[in-house]
Amino acid sequence: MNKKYITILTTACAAGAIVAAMVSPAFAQTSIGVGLTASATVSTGAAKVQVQLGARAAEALATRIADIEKRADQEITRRIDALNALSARVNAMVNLSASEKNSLSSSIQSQITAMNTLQTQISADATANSTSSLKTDVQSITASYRIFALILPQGSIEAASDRVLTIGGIMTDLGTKLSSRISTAQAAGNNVSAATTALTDFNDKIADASTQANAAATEVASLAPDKGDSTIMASNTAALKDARSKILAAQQDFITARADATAIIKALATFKGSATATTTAAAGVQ
Amino acid sequence: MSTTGKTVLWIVIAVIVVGGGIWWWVASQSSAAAPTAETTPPAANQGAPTTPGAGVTPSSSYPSGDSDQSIQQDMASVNAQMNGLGSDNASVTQSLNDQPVQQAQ
Repeated sequence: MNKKYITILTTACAAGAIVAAMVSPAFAQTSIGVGLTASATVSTGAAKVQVQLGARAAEALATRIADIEKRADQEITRRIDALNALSARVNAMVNLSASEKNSLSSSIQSQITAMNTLQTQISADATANSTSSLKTDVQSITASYRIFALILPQGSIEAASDRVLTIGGIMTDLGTKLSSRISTAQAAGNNVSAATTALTDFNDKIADASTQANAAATEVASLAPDKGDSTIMASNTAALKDARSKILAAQQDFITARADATAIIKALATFKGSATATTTAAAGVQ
Repeated sequence: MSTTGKTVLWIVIAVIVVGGGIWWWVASQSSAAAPTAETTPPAANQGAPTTPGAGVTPSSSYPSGDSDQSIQQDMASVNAQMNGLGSDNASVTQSLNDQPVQQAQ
């Protein structure tokens, strides 16, 4: 057998070994689509080809793992930052009961802990080139997003609701003071009908804002993660959006009530025997 | 000294006494007003663009419970909290529109 046939035969054997490595799980090193490393014992020129292909596969694998780790890290860090911000906001809430606050904080903290654990796990798996574990980690990130996507708006709505109740308390005190001042002005012989009308609207808006806030908080309090159930996910989303609309309605109530208060203060300034009240428009304040 | 001269002298003395009295009264009024000006608090909310809300001038004609100052404080608190509510609502909207970083498969 001459040298030409030997070369052809050797090349054919090497190619066969590489193809076997690509299709056979026994030879593959990864289950995330980076299976290019062959373990075949061939000689001379074919061995060089295999070494080159192996090096390229290793490089591709490293790039792939780095990409997986980077994307996972971005998402986990993003979630941790958002959860930490929400946790701080929940701790600043003043109208929520201690037990409700603890329950909400506990849910947030458990998610933060889970994300930190997952981040550590991914780092270890990437260092170990454990592609099968990385695949599981990535699946875990995707699955846990359903929880994150519920907790974040849920907590944000609870916080906004708490804020509405705080504003309602301040405005109720303000309304009492304005009412007293209107009564004094009326006793002094002033026409207070416009101020009284504004005060009535002021009180109505405050009452409605509180109703909206309480309804929003109640609506989202009992929501649970959908665990992949699309029907539950749809109902959760609808409830969250409806609760948001209630908070926005409460905000609009307060904008109107504040305008009423400003009008009353201006009216008080014009009454005889009244205080020299002046107002500065609160333009641009939402 | 003639009678006319005495009359003029008495008029001059009377003018000096009355003028001195008026000067003393004006001076005493000015010194009494000075501490009031010093103790007047800075007009922090009198139309300052960075301070939203009602710049209600304090009045002493009402009890402190519903005084202008008290109302002013409530309005300032309302404005601050409403700014916070605006941020809260923005957070709610952002959380509902959240999109995850696409993961490598």
